[in-house]
Amino acid sequence: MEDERDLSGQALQQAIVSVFTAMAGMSAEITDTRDVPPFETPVINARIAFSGPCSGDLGLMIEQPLAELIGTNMLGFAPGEHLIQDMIDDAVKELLNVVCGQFITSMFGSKPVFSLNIPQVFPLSAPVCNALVQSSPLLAFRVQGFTLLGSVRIRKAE
Amino acid sequence: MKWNILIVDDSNVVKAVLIKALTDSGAPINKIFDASNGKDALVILKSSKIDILFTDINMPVMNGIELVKNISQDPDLNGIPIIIISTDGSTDRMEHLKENGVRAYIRKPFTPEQIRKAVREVMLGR
Repeated sequence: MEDERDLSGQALQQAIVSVFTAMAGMSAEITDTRDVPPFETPVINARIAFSGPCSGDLGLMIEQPLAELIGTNMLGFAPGEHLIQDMIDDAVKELLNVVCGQFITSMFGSKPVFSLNIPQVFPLSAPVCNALVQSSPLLAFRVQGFTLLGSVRIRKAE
Repeated sequence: MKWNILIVDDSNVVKAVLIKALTDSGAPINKIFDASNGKDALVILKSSKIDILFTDINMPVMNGIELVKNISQDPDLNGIPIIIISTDGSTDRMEHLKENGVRAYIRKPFTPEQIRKAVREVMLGR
């Protein structure tokens, strides 16, 4: 069980690092969750579920200023150019969608057919996010000076 | 002759990036249409002459697989070249889609060069 969790964590880590570089031109560096400074403002929580030979879901928790940078970079806008929240959310959803595709290929190979649900985003309060950092198995990254958290859950097919 | 292009994706960010890649590619474009799901795409396909179609797979209402199936079963539409742009990396799914008339499959994240290359191959045969 621990081995499987390690494997899925590694696959998610690789997918996040690769997709952030390719889509947002950003370097995501893994860090220890114990080194994550407490969140003081709400974060954007993005989730996507997948199903196929097994099912599960991936999540990203992203600080708002980092989400804005992601949107700006993906669209090729100039730094500081204003993006509406819908476009920022859309960029985060698309990023997670691609992370999920790469995670599935890395974890299960390119033969099985999986279906991906439509990604969802919603705000998460700082206290809830801080509690999750303390209590859940999350991957933590530093990107452009901001914190990014990733999570993965896999359920066996019945 | 200039082309009418239809882009089907529920992400406005992807549509914007793809439109930029297409306009920068030097392809002869008359008009770019867009839709957010397969159902809306079919309405456009039935009312406008589309020369090339780009579609995602994972979309609400009607996904890209159902859209491809609908197009392949419609004699008025089944000659339209289709390029899939998706996060899905399943080789079985790619093969199935190619059997249903899909001409190229580009995996996200894509580069502008991949778009240029696919358009050249599909529309010009080189």
